Amino acid sequence: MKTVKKFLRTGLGVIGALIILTLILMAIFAHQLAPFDPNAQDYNSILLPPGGEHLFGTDDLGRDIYSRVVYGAQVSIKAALVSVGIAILIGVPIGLLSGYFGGFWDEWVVMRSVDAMQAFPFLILALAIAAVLGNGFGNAMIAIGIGFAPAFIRITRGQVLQLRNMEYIHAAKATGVKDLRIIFSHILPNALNPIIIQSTLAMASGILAEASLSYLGLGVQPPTPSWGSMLNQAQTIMTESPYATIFPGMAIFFVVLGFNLLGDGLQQTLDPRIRK
Amino acid sequence: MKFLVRRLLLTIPILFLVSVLTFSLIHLIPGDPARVILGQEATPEAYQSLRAELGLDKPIIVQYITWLGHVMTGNLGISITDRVPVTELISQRLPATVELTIGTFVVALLIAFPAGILAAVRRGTFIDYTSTFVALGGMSIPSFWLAMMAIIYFSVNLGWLPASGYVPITENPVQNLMAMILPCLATGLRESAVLMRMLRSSLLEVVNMDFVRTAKAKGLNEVKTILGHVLRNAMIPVVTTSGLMIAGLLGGLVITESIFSIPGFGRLIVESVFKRDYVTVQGAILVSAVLVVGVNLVVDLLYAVIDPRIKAGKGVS
Repeated sequence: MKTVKKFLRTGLGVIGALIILTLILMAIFAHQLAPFDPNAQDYNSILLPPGGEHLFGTDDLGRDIYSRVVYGAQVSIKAALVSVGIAILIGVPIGLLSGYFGGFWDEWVVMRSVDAMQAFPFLILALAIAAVLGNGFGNAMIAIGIGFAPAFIRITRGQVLQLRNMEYIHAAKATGVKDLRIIFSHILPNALNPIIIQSTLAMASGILAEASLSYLGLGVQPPTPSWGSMLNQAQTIMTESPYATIFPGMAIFFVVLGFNLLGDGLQQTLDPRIRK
Repeated sequence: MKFLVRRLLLTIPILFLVSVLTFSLIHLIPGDPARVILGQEATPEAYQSLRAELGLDKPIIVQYITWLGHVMTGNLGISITDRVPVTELISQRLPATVELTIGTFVVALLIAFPAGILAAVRRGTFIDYTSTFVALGGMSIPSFWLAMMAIIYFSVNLGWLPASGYVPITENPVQNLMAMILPCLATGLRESAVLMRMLRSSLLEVVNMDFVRTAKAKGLNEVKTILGHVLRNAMIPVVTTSGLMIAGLLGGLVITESIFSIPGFGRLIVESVFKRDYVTVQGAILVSAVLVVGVNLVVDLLYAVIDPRIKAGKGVS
């Protein structure tokens, strides 16, 4: 309760949470909020400016931009959850085990592999993985998730290194509690705060990365409305009709801003160094 | 010297693992890479020839050792589609990317330093809140969208700057500069936000330290205290961020180069991905990773210059 109150006092964090809540509601109620089928083409309404029955105008195929932006929220939410979910599933267990047991594997195999993975520029790595696995949303998510995993390994391991020498862990060991139980029941719950903060910030990057891969044509494939692929398609008509570019871009901006503000608010609430 | 040797030795296992990961890339292709590259209609002769060229007919350890041997001598293979050495393709494309990186970095520094210092000095005021909000906004703008907006406004509506038409700096410096302004601004604005936030928080940590109070007590004015005492001590996290930024930029420029049709390194990767030229993709990502390892090494060595405690092995307090 105290934490919630502290979070509510962050102001910008609350704005971020509200933006994300709006996104979630938009994704859930897309069918009710969108006046048109996002893929319905109308050749009598090509490149219309905003106004009338088309709130954000129409694209070069006569599709309603507002409806496509609303449905695009579904892709963005999925991108944020799936990519970060994959990164957590890979990164957190490795970070926990590596940090807890330490030794050669931790120092020379896991951490040096993390260094090596982080040597690859993130988008180039994602691009290369997406290239070998093939185009499509699922592969793009795997690529982004793998790209994010090293950061989760590093953060989780850092936490474990701090916690493993605490008295309550020594006490658990002395009473014969098994290592895996110590790791998952005693260390993990106390290492969660930085992981939560990192997850929120990674979701912002996940949405940007999905939009970037889709923009390059390696993520979500047409005609599925994703904000990145909408920008890709809008590029050819941006001189005649800027609206097809403006609105999907603004949607990306607000959602990423929402996650960044939320991450910032959570950091102020949960990070003890800042909390002090 | 000991620090330098230790730091150099640490890069060896990293480079080794980078090479293993890069080599594995082509083997991540589901199914037979040669079949995937050539398609189902390829003749058996073409298929066998490509398998032999890629070394796929040999045991994997032999493949890796042969590949690594070639890489060590600067041979990254022959592009599958362009039939020219990958090193040649990369060296043709790198100058534009280097220029773009420097330009972006300059834009980022020019915005981040005054804004970061001002936000830290005027902490808790309207200026601070505004700059924090603007910085978070800047970090949230997709740089490719900003680039598209810049093209619509500055190129299409106002006609001030070209949207494409890169000319090498050696051919026509003026045209080159005109073509690079928008790409550098579009990418640099976002990077400046990251740098500004780091500089602000780093300055805030230092500004309350005893030596700063002493400097002020001695009668030093605010500008001299900040520039002469605080800034140098606040530089370590900023240098780290700048190093990471350059690494991130290599990735981010993939898109900027695609939007502004700049024949750079990033665009080479995108083109190669679409042409299924995996040898070029492999060579290019290896070069990008080695560049990042190199930048990180330089950053670590810079630490020692900025903070002599590191060189002396005492760490940072």
